Amino acid sequence: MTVHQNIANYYVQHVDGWLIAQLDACLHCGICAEACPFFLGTGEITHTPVQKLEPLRRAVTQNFSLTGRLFSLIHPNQPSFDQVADWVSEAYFACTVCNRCSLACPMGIDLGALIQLTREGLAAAGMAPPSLADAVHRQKVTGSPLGVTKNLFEDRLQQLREEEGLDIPLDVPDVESLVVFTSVELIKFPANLAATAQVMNASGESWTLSSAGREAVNFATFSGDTPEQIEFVRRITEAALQLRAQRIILTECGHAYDTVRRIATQLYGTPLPFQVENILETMTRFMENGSIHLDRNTLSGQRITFHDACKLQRLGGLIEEPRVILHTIAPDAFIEMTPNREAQLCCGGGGGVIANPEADEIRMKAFLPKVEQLEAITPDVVVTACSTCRLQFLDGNKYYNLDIDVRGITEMVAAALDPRTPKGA
Amino acid sequence: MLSPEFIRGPLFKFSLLIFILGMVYRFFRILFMGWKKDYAPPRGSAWGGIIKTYTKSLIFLPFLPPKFPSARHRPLTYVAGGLFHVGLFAAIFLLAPHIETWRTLLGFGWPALPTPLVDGLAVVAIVGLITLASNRMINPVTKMLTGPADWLNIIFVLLPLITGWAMYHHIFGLNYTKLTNLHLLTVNWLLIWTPFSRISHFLTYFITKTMHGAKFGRLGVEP
Repeated sequence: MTVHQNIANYYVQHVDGWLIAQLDACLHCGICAEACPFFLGTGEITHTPVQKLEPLRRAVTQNFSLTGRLFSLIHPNQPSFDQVADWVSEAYFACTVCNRCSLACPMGIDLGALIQLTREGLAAAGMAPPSLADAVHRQKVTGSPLGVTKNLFEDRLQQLREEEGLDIPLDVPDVESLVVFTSVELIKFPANLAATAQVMNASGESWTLSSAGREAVNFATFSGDTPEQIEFVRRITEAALQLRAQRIILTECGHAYDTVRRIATQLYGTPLPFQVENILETMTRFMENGSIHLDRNTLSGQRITFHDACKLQRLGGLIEEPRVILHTIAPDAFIEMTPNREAQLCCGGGGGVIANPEADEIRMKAFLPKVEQLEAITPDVVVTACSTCRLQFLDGNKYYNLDIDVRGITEMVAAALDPRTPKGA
Repeated sequence: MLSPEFIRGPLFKFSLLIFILGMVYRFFRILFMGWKKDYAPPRGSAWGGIIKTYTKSLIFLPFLPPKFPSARHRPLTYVAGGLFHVGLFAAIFLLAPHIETWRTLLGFGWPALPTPLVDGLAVVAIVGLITLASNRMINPVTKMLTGPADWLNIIFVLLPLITGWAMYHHIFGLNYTKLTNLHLLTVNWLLIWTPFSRISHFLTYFITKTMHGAKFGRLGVEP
């Protein structure tokens, strides 16, 4: 069997009423293009979101519509190898699955979910880009796509405990919350880890990290490798069950929140027996119930803006939480980019795009609409709640000489907790 | 030449049968092929999202600039698309002779709009559809996406509109009976064609839009 037949077979096996309805509804109006940062940044029509569904649309039309079946009998054109390579590059390198097109579509077609399904078919046929497939393999074997083994994890925590003088509990049973970090934070933004520990300790809520469930990042979500995706989520949920934690708190990561909170329930086919929270929800909960108090004046005199992440805000609904936090710690300094909230422009780095060296050039072009947004308000600091957005902003900052400080929101909150270390001022 | 009695009688019944069976098949296939369920605790109301999305798209869209920023890049598609649908709706459901057809089919009718007004709205529909078609040729994105089926859809919807309008104005040098026959034939063909084409979006629209509103409503995001 050829590759394209394997790809098509996956879609044919996974066809359901939802998919038929979605594909039938498209009127080829092309409005989705206007929503896509990759189209806006490059002006290339091949990046039109609905065009990225080509392998999926093709398989479903040829197998589930009368006209499509007749037509493929008369004119059975086989996709060339180059065509399949184009499908891969459009689905993986020119899309962050940011779901902006889903909200823009006048027919209400859920393009983001369809592109994810497109990736799943490509992955099932072994066509996921090597950089993502390798990372999935590394996560499977070492427990983390960045190779953070149990030993490395424990060493790193010990180092942080000593450097920062922090209490960071590990594998403590019967706690209220199991906190799960991303290895990106562990390696690139350890200050985020320290900040989260500070906030958790200050709140008085019992919490722990887990050495078994130590990785929030799920590279199988990016590659579309569903069996591994379930396995990586299972590591976290099983850790929570073993430690009898009442709640899972995921730190600054977009896709981890969506994968554990929502996609996992679809894959398991049952609700999770505990609450899944993002650190944004945790921090606003602490602010509301008075378990933490924040200083209002750490950041005055600066211009601070917030970048909405596609998986946390547009797909997670955590729209008010970061604004509550920033209006508290930076009441005079906080300004909004336009568009914002659910209509925000994606940074261009998410959905695994940043992990593909092949996509380096295009992801900087996809950042261009963001640069225009930033230039309109000239902020000093961009705050994010997603480590991928943060990496992309750091890269974009360098590439376009923006001279903007990029910060994680947990760090800002931790800095506002303790007025003696005003890191933001 | 086919007699008007044949076109109005057996042929119309046949076309209606194909239309109804085809649409029922499409609808039930979508309904019964299975659905993935989201078990995550909702952050908002699914019904709230559904109501919001219909309020925005059905009630305000053709008349107000849409809130979502990317929609503003293509105002023509929205305005021409909205006006086309209003005109088409008026022509099908609010023209006095058409209501008589509905009365024979359903057993009841409803008040008509003044015929000159519907005539004007039909012109709006024709101009709207031609505008959308021209845009398909001009905009590089729609040019890439548009295939032969889309052109056939546009032609098959345009034909009954134009022949109906010509009947009312007695033009094209054709006699009234011939035009009537032509109008009825194009309507019959449209009925047969619809279930096999994306013109069936008059049904799928409500399915995808409801799912969209429910999904984003549940997520606590404005759909």
